[in-house]
Amino acid sequence: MREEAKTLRQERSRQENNTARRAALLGLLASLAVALSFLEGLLPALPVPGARLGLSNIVVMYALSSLSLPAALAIAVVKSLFALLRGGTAFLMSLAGGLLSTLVMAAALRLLKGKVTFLGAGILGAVAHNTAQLGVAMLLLSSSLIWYGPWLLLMALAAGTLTGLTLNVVMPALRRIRRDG
Amino acid sequence: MKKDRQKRQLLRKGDMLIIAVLLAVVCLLLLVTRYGSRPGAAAVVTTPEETFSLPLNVSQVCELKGRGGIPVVLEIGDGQIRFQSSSCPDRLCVNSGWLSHAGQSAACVPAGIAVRLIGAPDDGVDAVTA
Repeated sequence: MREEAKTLRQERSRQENNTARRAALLGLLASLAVALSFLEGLLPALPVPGARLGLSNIVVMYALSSLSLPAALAIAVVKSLFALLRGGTAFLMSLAGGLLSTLVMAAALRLLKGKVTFLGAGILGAVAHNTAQLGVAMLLLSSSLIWYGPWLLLMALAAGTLTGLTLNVVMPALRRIRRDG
Repeated sequence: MKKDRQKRQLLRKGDMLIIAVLLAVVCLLLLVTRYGSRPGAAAVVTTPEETFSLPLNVSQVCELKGRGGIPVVLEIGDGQIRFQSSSCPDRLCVNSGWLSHAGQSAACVPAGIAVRLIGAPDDGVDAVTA
């Protein structure tokens, strides 16, 4: 009887521990995403206006694979709230890009499981991100921005390759750490 | 062990397919939008209030006020146009440099001002084969 109560207690504390761990990880990842997008802003501007490396996509994809889709979407929203500091337009562009790319990456990782790695998912996510941003920019500013389309796609290819490859290299090590801890 | 190695794989067929398709789309779009390297004849300027065009064969400096009163200066000279200066925070428009060919564009997103070059309406050259 006492043994049973003890295992029950242990089980409950393990579950709570797990929830707490997930919450802590989510907070950690969200702040990491914000920090990465801030650091990225310090880099010299890329030749194509509006094009960004999207380093925080690394964090979002990690959240997708080790937490959940809602968690990843939450990170995207938190990141956009910080873009609010740069004005309403930047916020809307960041929000549209972040949410769409998160959804696309989730779909790619789930539906094409085994067929693509983080590389393919990252590229698709970057393409979705830039497409959404361009769409919002065209709606809010000027439809002539469509001329940037091909360059933004090319930048998305480069950025997605960078973030995806990073995760492909780092993920096995991260998985090992989490299993040990 | 085998599963581990699969996880480590850096590139799968699906990834390569995505890259190939995207590259093809980019090439196609670039061909369609930039049609070779025709020199630009006029600049179509879009501001939050209006859209107008400036001929590139007349050298001039054009001062504009963008969204939120951001002053933007366009400079035309030698058949080219550039954002000479702008008070926007990121200066991406100024960094875009001189535009000289049809299809090229630059924009100051914070000010809501965009510039796009168009070619001469009738220069007798086929847009795609040029």
